[in-house]
Amino acid sequence: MKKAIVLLVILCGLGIYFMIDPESVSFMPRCVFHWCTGLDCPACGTQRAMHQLLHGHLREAFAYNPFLLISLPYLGGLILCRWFNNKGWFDGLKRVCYHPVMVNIYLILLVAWWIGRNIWLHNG
Amino acid sequence: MEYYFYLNDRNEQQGPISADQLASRGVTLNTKVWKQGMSQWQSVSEIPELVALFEQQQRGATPPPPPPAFDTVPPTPRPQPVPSKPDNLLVWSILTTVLCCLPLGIVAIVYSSKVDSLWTEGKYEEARKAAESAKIYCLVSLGLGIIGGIIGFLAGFLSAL
Repeated sequence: MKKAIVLLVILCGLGIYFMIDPESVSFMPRCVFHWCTGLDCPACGTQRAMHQLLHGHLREAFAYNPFLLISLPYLGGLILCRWFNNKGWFDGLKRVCYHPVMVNIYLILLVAWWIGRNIWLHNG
Repeated sequence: MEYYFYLNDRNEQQGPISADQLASRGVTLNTKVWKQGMSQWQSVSEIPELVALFEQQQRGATPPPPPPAFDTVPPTPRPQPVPSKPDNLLVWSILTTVLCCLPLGIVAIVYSSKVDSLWTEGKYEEARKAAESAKIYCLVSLGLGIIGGIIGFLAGFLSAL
């Protein structure tokens, strides 16, 4: 049941981002951090990137937010371990994804990307 | 099997009977018994092999006594039941970071990453608190994300008018 809900939510999300280009419409959610500070947060560009990604435009997608190259696989792994590991297929993956070293690497990269994009890429 | 003589209530000599029949004849630990080779009459309680035999027969008749409590050794404290590990909410933390575009998600990730390591160190209470904090930051992040969505929607709606 829970698994079905998760799948449904994921599919709905993908559907919305497939049909709507956040670049061209104004009613999609805004980043509160960006709205308040004018700075980009680590995830700014994710919605636009998702739209491009779902249309198969890899280059455009990762131009919006290259950090998704790291976030999406990691998030995918975590979701697999968390909700789709009833049979223990992903135990190995779970050990890797939930390992403290892995989480810390992700955190450091995330913060580095956050600072870096605002210093070097802010006008880009 | 050894054969014993014993003295009954009226101090009359009885026997000989085999040792394992003594109890069934009403012989108690205080009854005087004698067998060949002994210098004089002795109480059953003074003859270790008979005491052992009596005890063995008693055990056969009644259920074995509960395991002995060691008076000298204080009873080991029962290990506290280990509460179940709280969910570390890592998935939610990263989801809110990535999808809600909010730096608060990063705080949530930090707390999430602490949950497991605190847990393995046995700091259950702190692990639970870290999980609690992660949850709060996730929810705040999610809430602000939704507010951001509404603001975005309203802004777009107003500018379209």
